[in-house]
Amino acid sequence: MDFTSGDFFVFCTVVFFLYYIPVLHKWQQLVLIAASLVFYAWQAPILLVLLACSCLISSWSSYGVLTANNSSGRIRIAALGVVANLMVLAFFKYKFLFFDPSQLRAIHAGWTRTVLLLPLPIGISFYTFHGISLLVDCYRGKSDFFEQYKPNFWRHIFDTLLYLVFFPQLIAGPIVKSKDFFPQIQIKRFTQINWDYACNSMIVGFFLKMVIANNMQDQTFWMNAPYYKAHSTLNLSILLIGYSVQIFADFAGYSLIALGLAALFGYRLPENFNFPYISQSIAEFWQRWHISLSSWLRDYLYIPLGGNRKGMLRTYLNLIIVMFLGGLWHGAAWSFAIWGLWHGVGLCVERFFFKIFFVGASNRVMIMLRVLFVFTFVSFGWLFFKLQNFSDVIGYVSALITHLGWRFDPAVPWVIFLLSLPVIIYHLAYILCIKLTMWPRAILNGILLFFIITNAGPNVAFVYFQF
Amino acid sequence: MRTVFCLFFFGTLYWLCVTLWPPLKPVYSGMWEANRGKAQVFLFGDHEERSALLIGSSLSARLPMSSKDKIYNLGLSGGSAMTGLELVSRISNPPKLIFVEINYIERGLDEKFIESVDSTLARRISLFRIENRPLNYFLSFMRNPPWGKSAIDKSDIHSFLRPLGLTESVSDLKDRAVCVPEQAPKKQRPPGKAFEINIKQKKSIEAAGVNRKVLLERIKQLQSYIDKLEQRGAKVVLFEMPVNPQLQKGKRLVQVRKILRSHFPPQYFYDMSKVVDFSSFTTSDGLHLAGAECQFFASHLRQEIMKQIQ
Repeated sequence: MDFTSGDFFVFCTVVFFLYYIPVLHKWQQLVLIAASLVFYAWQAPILLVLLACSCLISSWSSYGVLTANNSSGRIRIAALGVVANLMVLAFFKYKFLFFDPSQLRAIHAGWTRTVLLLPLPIGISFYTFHGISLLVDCYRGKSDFFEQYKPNFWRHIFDTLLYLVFFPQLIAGPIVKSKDFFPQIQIKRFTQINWDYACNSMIVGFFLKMVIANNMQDQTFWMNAPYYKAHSTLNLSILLIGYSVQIFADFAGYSLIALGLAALFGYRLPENFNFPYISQSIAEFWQRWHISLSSWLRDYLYIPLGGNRKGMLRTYLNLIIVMFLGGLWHGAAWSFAIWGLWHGVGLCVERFFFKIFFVGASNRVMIMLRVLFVFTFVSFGWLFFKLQNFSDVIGYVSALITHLGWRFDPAVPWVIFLLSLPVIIYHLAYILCIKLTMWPRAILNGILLFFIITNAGPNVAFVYFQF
Repeated sequence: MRTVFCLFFFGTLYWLCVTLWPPLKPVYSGMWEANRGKAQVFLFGDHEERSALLIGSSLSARLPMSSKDKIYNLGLSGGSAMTGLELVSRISNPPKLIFVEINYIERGLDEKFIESVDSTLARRISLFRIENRPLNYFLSFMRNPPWGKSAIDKSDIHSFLRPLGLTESVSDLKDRAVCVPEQAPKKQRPPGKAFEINIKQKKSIEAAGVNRKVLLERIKQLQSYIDKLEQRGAKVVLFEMPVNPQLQKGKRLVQVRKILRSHFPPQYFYDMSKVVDFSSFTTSDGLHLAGAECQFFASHLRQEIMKQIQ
């Protein structure tokens, strides 16, 4: 079910009323779990089987970790749980990296073929990462909550189920750490809803997704092969900027909707975007873009690998490994791996030349140049998202270099500029620390709602749904 | 509550603007939106004003047809004749004569497209139509000021707005470059290496042919649309758009031609190649007719349509 569909609106309204009906207060958690399962199974009920398996693996093993008597038992169960989660992810997500499904269709028959040809379950990357987070947090027991968390088996199963399947974050995050989510599981009251936060997040989110990203999709279509071959350097550059705006509006929009929806049900999810296009370095970009994934990778991969504590060379290697795996997490295509490497190498180079890169740290011109450099670097990286065929990425870049001259088709850039304007203003408002009081906020929200109703683009699936 | 009040305030203000100064000529922000806008104008516009209709893909979408002749071009860039036929089946009184392009007849019906254009809101309230979307209204407003004659004369408006990309309703560079003579580039670039590579790629696609099962399915679908339209008094004519001669003989097109000829009697077809020699026609990319050829073909087709109507 898509957040922007009519079905979802009806679904959400019904769940909201059931959730807050006083007679069902005791069953709030069950209502939310049931609703999330319906949400997940809406288009392909068969996928529930896999989700159920993943939930069972995570809840059983995490319960085992919590109740094990000795540390060796805890580590063994935790490791088993993590490996099982990773195997599920690896099998469903990466199997097509190693064989061609069309060949398999021709050669094999029977149940092996059926199993091997199972499609990629939506949201698998997110719920397996949630599962791993739960296991590691239970094992570490570092947070106050998990030190004191001693539930009975069934209570733990239901808590884990809600954590894994909570519908605002089930399909495309944000990736919530279990130590941040579990303490929030309790009875919620209608009067406790933070309406301002929920409505503001959802209005901005829907605006970014439906008005900016969906309309921009029509313009950036021309980046696809073979159309890019007909454009000049100038047009191709503008299209690339348009795609950077589109992917931000799409994903940040989705995350804001998720945050707003979760707030309606009394949960606070972590912020996923913090105005990433004002970053002055690639490292800063990753502290502002898809924050929940980068902090997950930092906490559960980079730091366990040794982080920056084992010398310079090892730090560079760790950065490249983490970004490479982070790239592959996005999809079973080598273009994603290369995208990860692109950022990994970028981070290493930036780290190596740190002192040179940050010359004149407070000089405004230098700041702008750095922001421009990081934006250009990141935008080139998005080519691997847009054009998943590697030869097309090379083709696009070579067209960008060779199709010089000022032949200029003004129609597309003009519309891209108009659609980018709100995103530019959104970032500028943050830089200038503009805080809106009650009426200006209401006027702004009214305008955004008006555009959502009258100027929404054609419904396009969220870019991150494929991951 | 404040937000809802502001929403109603801006909504009413905008509705007043659109009602008092409706866009004189719709302007769209892209090719796909132009498709949707074109479809909505067809669905919700005055059906009495159209006696003939052209349906097909981008090949026929580029043919200039004048409203003076009461011919409406419902060619959908990147779309299919099936989608066009579905749109026709949704109106109460279809035009008397419907010309259907067969070049990409194997493309299926785009249900998402139909859903996006034929919504209840758009059908009932014009404010929710593509042409009245704020962005398009703004573009249209800049191109054709609603107070009528602008202080700047028409040619100046064009030269003034051209850098802003507001000179045509379809933003595709090729669309504007090849089909609108006054905007066609003065100096046509001769076909170079890129064109040859392009033709080679398209030839390999053509050579792959088309799945016979899919094609038969489409023909069944086409037959059912034709039957329904004929029952409602419309006449359907199938025609082929000329493409590069190397592609004209491609396996896919030959297959389509052959299977259609075997399913429909000759009176369903209009074959302009019997009257005009297409072998010297040039195209912009192997598939779409270049400027002069586009005009030439369109004028011949117009004549034929007028003849058949009378």
